[in-house]
Amino acid sequence: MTSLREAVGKPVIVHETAEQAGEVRAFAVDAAAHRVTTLVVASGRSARLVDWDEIESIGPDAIIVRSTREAADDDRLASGALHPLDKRVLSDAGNELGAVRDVTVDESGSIDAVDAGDASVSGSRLRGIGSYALVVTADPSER
Amino acid sequence: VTVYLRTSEIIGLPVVTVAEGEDVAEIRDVVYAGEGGMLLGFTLNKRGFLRGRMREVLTADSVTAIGSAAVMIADAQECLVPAGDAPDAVGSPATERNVLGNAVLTEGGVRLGTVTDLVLAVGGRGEIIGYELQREGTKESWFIPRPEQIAVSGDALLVPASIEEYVSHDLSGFALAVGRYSSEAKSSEGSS
Repeated sequence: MTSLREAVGKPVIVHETAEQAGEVRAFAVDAAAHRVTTLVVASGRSARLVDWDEIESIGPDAIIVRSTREAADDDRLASGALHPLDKRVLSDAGNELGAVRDVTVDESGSIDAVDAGDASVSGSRLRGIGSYALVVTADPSER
Repeated sequence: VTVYLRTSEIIGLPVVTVAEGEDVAEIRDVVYAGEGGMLLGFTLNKRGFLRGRMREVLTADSVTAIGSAAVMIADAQECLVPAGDAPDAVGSPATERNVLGNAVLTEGGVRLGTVTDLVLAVGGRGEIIGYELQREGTKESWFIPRPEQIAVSGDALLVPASIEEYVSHDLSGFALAVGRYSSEAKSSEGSS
């Protein structure tokens, strides 16, 4: 399992050239698919994207990737709207569960769990994410 | 589970889309039927720095859930409709229904207090089920169930004397009082 919180700030190295593309600044989540799809890699003021499938390894000191791509035509990804860390967590019943402290994912990028402080939410409960909130299926006791 | 919320707690809540996680509007006011107390919908304000009234309204049918932190909807395009396309009650709500500040008197001539808030039961179809009152000269608040038979003048609400038996001091006691009231008093009011 990989902690997204721990991955933030790690250098991203492109395997073929051994060049550093930048540092991990954010992630993009596809809530309906319950997975992390993309890394947002910042280098100075510019950002590039790495699709999760292009990651070779996530090590303690660096993330090794096969390729990066331009961010321009994927504004919503690069803007951080789909970035889960520190985002407000709302249930689909309209109650606030907390803020995202960490997200754990497996090798394929599937979200195992979201740590929302007081509550731990299974990845399968994710319903939507945007600039305002991460929306999750309400616990049956909320209904 | 039925949750009781004051309308003042709902006003100002963000309206959030479930699938996009975006705050697309903010509750400006709660619109309900004068008779029956059924929740009809909401008028809306814009979010962010450019506040102010939105042209669109939200009907109760389009609400996925009302919680303590947000009003959830499926989709902004479908759920937020221009006021002109909404049922009149929601699109151009009557303003004389505002009972906040009105005195509550029983038919026995007892003044129970002044209306400071309305209590909305959330869960299933929303319904205004009672009033929060402030007793004159005190900081105490009281809750009374919304009676079936009620006369509203714009100055005062005239309620059955029997309502005095169902006054409660907090929302949890109020939940019990509403249940008791609807099984006992409403049936006897209906038969008299």
